[in-house]
Amino acid sequence: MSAWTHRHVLDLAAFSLDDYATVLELAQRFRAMPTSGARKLPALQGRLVTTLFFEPSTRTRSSFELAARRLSADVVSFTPGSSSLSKGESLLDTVRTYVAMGAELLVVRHRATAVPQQLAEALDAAGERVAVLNGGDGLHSHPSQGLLDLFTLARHFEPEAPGPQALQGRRIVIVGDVLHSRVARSNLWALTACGAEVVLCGPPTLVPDAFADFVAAPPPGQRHDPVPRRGRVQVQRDLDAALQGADAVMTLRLQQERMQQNLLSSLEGYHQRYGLSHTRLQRGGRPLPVLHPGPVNRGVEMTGGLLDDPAVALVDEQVRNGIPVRMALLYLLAAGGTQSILNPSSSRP
Amino acid sequence: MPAPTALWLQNLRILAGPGQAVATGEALISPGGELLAIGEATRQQAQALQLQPSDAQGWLLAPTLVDPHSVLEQPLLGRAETLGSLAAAAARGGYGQVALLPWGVPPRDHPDQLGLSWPEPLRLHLWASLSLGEQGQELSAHSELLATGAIGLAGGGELGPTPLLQRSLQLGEIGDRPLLLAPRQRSLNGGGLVRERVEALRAGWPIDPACSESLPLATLIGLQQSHQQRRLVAMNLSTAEAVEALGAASCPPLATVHWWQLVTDSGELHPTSNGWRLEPPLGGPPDRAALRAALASGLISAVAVHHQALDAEEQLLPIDQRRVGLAGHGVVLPLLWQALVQGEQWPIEQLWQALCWGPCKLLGLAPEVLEPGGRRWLLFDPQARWSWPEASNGSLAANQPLRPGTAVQGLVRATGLLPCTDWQLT
Repeated sequence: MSAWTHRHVLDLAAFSLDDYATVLELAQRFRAMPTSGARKLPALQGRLVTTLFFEPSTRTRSSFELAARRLSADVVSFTPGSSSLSKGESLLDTVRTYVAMGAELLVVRHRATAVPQQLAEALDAAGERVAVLNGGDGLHSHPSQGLLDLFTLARHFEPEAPGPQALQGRRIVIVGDVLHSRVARSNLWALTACGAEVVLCGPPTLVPDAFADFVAAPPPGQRHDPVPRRGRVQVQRDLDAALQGADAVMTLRLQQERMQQNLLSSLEGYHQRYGLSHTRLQRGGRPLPVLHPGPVNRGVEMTGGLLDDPAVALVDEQVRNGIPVRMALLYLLAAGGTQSILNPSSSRP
Repeated sequence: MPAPTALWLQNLRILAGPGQAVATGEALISPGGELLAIGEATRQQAQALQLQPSDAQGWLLAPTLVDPHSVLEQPLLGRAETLGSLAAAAARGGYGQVALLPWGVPPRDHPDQLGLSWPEPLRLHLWASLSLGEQGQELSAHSELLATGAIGLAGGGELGPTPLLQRSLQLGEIGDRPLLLAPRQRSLNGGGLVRERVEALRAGWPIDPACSESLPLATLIGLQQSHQQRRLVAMNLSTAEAVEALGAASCPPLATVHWWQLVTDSGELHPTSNGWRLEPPLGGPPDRAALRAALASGLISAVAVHHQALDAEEQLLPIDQRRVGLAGHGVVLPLLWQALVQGEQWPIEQLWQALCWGPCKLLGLAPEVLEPGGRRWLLFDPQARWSWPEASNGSLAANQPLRPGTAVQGLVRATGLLPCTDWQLT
C-alpha cells in the first residue's frame, strides 16, 4: 500500500487505486470498532476540526462531527444565516477566523463549485498548514459520499475484504438526476476507478448523453488521470434495460425544483419511468441492493416499501458507513500519511 | 538596449499595413515615441543623427491593436476601472484604439454622455445605446447619438425584443454604422455558467445550452437578411453551433469573438481561474476550435477584448455570485500569438487582421498603418519570457485572466502610446 500524499481531499478524480484501497482499509478497521461502550480513539486528541457548511446540511455535517469526535478531536461548527455571504464578508475571512483559533482540518460545503479548492489554494498560498476536506461543492464533487457509497458496495459484495477489487467487473446503475448531482459525479470517479461498469439512467434533461464521456479525461486543472484503466460509462434511457445484469442500483434525490425548471413533466411519470420498486427490481430476476444518498422522496425515487426493506435498501447502511469513512479521511489528512495507523507496530483501532 | 535620443532598430520584422507582407527592415523611433522612419529611409536619417544601430532581430514592429468593444461602467469614479486606468492598461497591452460599449452607470443613451475621450495618440470610441436605459423598450435618439460621435449603436447583454430591432432597422437612422447585438437569450441559459459540453459536466459547472446563443442568432441572421443594407454585428460569438449557423447564412452579419474564448476552454482552464465567469459562457474544445477556424476564414471579423473589470471585493465572492466579466488588454497579444502564430502557424498578417484591421473595418475606421510621425505603433518581442504581472499593468481590475506568477511568452516592449521611460528594451 503506497503512502497517502493528499494535503486536501477535494475531488475523487485525483484519487489513485491505492488511495481508494487505503481509505477502504482504514474505514473497515474503524467500522470494526465496538458499537457500544468507549468508542473513542485518541488519534486526533487536541486537534481542532471545523465544519464550515455554507449550505444547509444535517446528515453530512452530523456524520463528520461524529467521526471527528470518535477520533477525540475538538469540533467547532459554522453555519451562516444565509448561504450567500454579502460583499465585504469573504469566505476566506471566515475561514481565517477558524484557522486563527487553531483549526487544522476544515470540512467545507458550499453551493458554488470550486469553493473548497479556492479556500485550499488561498490557505496554501498563505503558508497555513490546514487541510480542507470537501463536504460538497456545487454540482462538482462530494468525495466523502462517493467513498461511503463505494465502501457500502464493497462491503456488500465482499464483507470480509471490502477493497476496490470488490467492484471489479460489477455493473452499477445510477438512476435519476445525474446532471445536478455532485454525488453521482463522485460515484463515477470512484466506481470506474475500481473497475466497475456504470450505467447512467434518466431522461435526457437530467442525464445528458455527454455523460458517457465523463471519465474519458481528467477534469480541468488536473493533467493526468491517476487511474490507468477505468470502467466504462454508458447512458441508458430505459431503466428496465439498464437493470438487466446489474449488480447494484443507486438512485439519486430528485429536487422538486426540477419540475419548475421544466426538466420533468410530472413526478408521477418520473416515478413510473425511473422510480424503483420491488416489482421493478424483481423483473431483473435477482435481488439488487439499492443505495440512495438521502434524504429519500418516498414514492418518487423509490417506493416506501422498498426503502423500508433492509434486505434490499442499503440506505441505513450507507449512513452507518459514513462515519468510519469520514474518520478515515480525517485521520489521513490529520496524520499526513498512513504510517502510524497502518504500521503493524502501532496501536490499531 | 538603452533608449538613446532616438532609437535605430535593425533586423526588425515590419508589418506596415493591411495587404502588406511582413518584411525585414529598419526603423527609427524618437524618444517622444514618434516613428521617424521605416524601411529604406531609416539609414540616412539615423546616420545624420549619428546614431548607432541596435539589433532587434525577432522583434515585430506593427500598428497598434484595436479593441472593438469593452466595458467601462464608471469612467470617473469606478473602483474597478476608470478612464485613466483603462487607458494605461490598453496602452501597455498595445491597444491604441478602444471602443466602449454603452453599458455604463447610467447607460450611455444620450448625446451628453458621449463626451469621454483619451489624449492622443490613444483613441477612445463610444458605442451608444440602441434603446433608452438599455431597457429594450424605447429607442434612443439614434440620429443625435451618431451625430454626436457615437461609433455605432449597441444593444445590451441579450438580443432584446425583435420588434424594437426591426423598427430601428426600418427607421434606418443608423445608416451604414454598425449595430452591435448580443445573440443571447438569458431565459434559455438554464442558470448555467459554462457552455454545455462534457468538460463542463466533468468540472461540475451549471451548464448553459448552445441554444441560448443559436436561437437568438437565428433571429439576428434573419434581420440581416431582411435589411441587407445595414451592418449588423453579432457580439462575442461563442459556440460551434453559432459558427455553423453563421457559415450557412447567405447574408451573415459581421461577428466578433471574445479573445479568451480563443485562448482556453472548459477542458483545460484551472478550476479556480478568474476566467470562468463570462457571458456568453466559456465553451468547450469544439467551440474554441470552431471559433479559431471562423476567425481564420474571416467569418468572424474581429477579436474583442470585451474588458469588464471587477473590483477586489467582488472578486472574493464565490464564482456563481460574482458578476460576469474578465479584464483584458495586458496579455491578449502574447497569449493569442502563442495560441495562433506559434500554435497554429497563422501568418502574422492574419493575426493582425483579427486584432487590428478587422476591428477597424467593423468600426468603420481607417485601417491602422505605420507611418512616419505616427505614434500608434508597437514593438513586440515574441520570445521574451516574463511573469504576470511583471510590473503594474495599469489596470485597477481584480479579475485579471492570469494568476500572479504565471509565465508568459511574448512582450510589448515599446509603443508610441507610452513614454519611453516605460519601454522595456532590455
